[in-house]
Amino acid sequence: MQSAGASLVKPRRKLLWLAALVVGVLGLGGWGGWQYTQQSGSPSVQEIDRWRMQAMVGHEEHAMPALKRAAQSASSESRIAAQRALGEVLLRKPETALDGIRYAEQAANQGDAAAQLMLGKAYFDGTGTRTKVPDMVSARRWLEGAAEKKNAPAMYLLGLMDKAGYGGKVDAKQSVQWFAKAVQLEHPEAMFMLANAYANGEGVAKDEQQALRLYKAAAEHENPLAAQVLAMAYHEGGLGLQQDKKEAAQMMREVEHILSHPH
Amino acid sequence: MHFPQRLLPMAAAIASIAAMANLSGCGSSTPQMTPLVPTNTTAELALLETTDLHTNVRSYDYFKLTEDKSLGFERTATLIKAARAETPNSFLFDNGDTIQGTALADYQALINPIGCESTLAMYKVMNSLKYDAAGIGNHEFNYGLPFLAQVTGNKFNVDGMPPVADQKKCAGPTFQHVLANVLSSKDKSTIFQPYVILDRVIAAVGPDGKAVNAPIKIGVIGFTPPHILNWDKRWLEGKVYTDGIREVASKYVPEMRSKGADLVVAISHGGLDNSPYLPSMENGNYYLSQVPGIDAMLLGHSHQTFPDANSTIAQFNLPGVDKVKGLVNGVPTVMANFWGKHLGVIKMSLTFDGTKWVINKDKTKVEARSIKNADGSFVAVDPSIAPLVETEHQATIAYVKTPVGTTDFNMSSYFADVGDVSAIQVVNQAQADYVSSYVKANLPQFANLPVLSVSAPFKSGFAGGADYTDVAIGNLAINNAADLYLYPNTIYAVKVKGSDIKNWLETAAKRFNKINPSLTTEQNLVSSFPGYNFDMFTSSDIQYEIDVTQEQGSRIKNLVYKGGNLDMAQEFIIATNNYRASGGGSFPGIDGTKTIYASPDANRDVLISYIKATKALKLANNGSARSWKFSKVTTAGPVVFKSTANKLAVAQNAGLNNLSVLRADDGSGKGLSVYQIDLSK
Repeated sequence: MQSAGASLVKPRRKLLWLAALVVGVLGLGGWGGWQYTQQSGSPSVQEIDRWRMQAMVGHEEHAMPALKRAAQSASSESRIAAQRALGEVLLRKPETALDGIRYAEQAANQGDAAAQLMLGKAYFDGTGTRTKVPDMVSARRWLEGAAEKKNAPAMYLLGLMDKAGYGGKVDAKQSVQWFAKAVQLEHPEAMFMLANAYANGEGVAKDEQQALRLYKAAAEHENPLAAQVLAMAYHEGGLGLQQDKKEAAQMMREVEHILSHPH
Repeated sequence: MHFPQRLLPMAAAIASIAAMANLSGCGSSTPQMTPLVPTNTTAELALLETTDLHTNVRSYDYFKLTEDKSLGFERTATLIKAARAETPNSFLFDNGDTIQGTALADYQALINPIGCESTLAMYKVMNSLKYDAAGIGNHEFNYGLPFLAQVTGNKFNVDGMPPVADQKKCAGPTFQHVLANVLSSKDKSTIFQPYVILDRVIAAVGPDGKAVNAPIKIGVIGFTPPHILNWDKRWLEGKVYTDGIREVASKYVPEMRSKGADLVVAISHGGLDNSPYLPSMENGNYYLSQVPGIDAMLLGHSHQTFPDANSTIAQFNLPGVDKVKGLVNGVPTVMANFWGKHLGVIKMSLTFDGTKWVINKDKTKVEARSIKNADGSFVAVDPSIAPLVETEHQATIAYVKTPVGTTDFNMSSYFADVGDVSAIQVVNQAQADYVSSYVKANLPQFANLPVLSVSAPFKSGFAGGADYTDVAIGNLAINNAADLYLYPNTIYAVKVKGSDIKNWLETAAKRFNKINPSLTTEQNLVSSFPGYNFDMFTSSDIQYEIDVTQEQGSRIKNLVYKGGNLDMAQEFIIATNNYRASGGGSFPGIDGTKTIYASPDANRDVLISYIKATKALKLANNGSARSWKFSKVTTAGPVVFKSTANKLAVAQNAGLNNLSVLRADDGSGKGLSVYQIDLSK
């Protein structure tokens, strides 16, 4: 465990504040120490992640001041990680959601795809708007920004928006393209949706073999829906599979297991 | 540790006596004195792993009440004994996800919770195989912390439990559990011991070629996925927290070495992930392998097999992962699948270099051995296992057969396609009841929205006349609930508009072919659209017609909610399952984005609870509320569908008086008749 004090030269007032914090954190023993990067004196992204974990389980009193401090770090990597973490923690509760938006925007405006995704979701479901009414225009803007940086969940959500026409028109073909992009990045839910599109010929020519391949790939990633489709297909001999009651039963137990700890 | 040179003669003399008492090697307790190990002594040892057993003690399916040879510890035990015969210096470890997963587990945790003085059935059989140590998986937390403390024979200093001094020490297993990355919020220390160092004596070969007994210290450390805090939030929030496995390993592994561990074995309940390391990552063992001083990793959680030369699984095809030799960044690693289907084996060859044991790395062999033989058969059961848990096994079977209520009507899906709701209504009632209660208590912002429920006939004859739900009048048991709710789904609630309901029903109505009234030839009513996607309401509040003469998408007519036309903009909460709510069946707009509650509870369990609370199901209350009917149309020719032979009386009892038997045998040889429906009635 390394002490923060030695590596930090700060004005007196900050030192006092920091000393109090160090005592607070070190007093917790098991919380682990402060790991500062050599050059900047900024906390590491791993340390920020630990504070985020603590804040997420209700230990805000220790973790939040540390995260807020880290959000001012000299290192852009640390700063962005802390801003994103604060966004995540604060967006969980309606009463702090708008503060969460502010932090997430700070990170997003520095090009952080995960923060852009977070904002896209918050505008999509309305948790991040003042009125709690979804703002699909802002949602799409942030999601497209994240998708440009190869963020698969953003691509997936854009696929859903085009599939159902959220905030615009239904565009099944465009939806399939988003899902296909996310599938290239191994996104299990997108694999399932693209499989559905192939199975039903929605936005793409019907192709059961492609559907089966994608359902299997998604099931390997523990997607419970794909595993269930396969279980039913084995039961009935669907999707070009040979009927196999044993395989169906095993697959259904696997569904049960996956559902016992959803991802 | 070895004795300093000058103590040699004395130590050797005492040691040989000590060793005599420990001929069996592993499983023995700490020897009083440690024998000298001559330089260049060699030994072979094996680390054996089971993982994700999920209380599959017997090769048995408790819902079907039949044998299932493809799984079960009673067969893994056969592999364990064979491995021990092959390598006498074997050490047996379990990775976790051990105490939950079958009706037997639920029986001992929830239905008839075992007492402080008793040992879990799963641990009983593990005791009989003399496990050396075990890790803790995420599912160990499923029944809460007090239960976990009790059955593992531990005391936890956590909020929500009495002070440690007031906790009774209960009968745990004879082996110790280790877990290094779950800490109490109360005292900031680990709730289990983070690691254990096993003092063992192994059979070795001296430099002169003679058999000798030699001491070895095996350090064992355990890790579980930090995600337990999400998965078991209701038990864990505010009580414990997790830390990253790399941080924790970096702290403890040197400590274990300094205490003399010759080998360090990491039992980690997780898989491999090479995305940039974060303490919160679920499968952090790629990075665990890079912590200096770890000699072997026993993994789990992913329900996969490693090593496996043919594996296409992404985590086993990462750079630095050798899926043939079973190495992760050079560290021997095994994952033994799940439900006792495999046994993990890491064989090591060691040489004592005068101060410590050194692993001859090029001789390490890693395998995951299957209970399935090459010819498709399964290894025989170890006959010593079943008798150890016979009482618990029979009690579980009795529990599964225990009546939870009664029904005064036959609940069947033979005629669900044409309107019989006898196997569906009670499912909808149970789901609506559960979701209403949850919303009232936890989602006040939605408390003013009406709650409706949809479900479908899960068994609809695809595999022949026997492939229907059919629960007889009389007692209803737990296994009947599995017939009424075939799938292991969990209950979800979605918030939708009236227009979504219309689209939902239009999609469900794809169950039917388009009927041409003027055709004089026979027309099949039922399409290839699966029965399990034929969602329907069964409530007097909502009524609609399905006009099968129309194209798909334009069939739902006279859609009425509480007497008035359904307002397309009105909001509703619909109780359904995770499959539908998340996009299963491709229902428009039902794609996961409208889910307001993703319950961890299974629809089937919700149904069982509802039946228990209702006690006596009656046709009038629970089996006859039709929300839909076909729009009336006179057809020139017969409209037909298939169902099980000789069941017309079932339809008549359900009030369906527009059916007749057209052909008693449909010619498929599957026990089906061709029935005719008169759509004009």
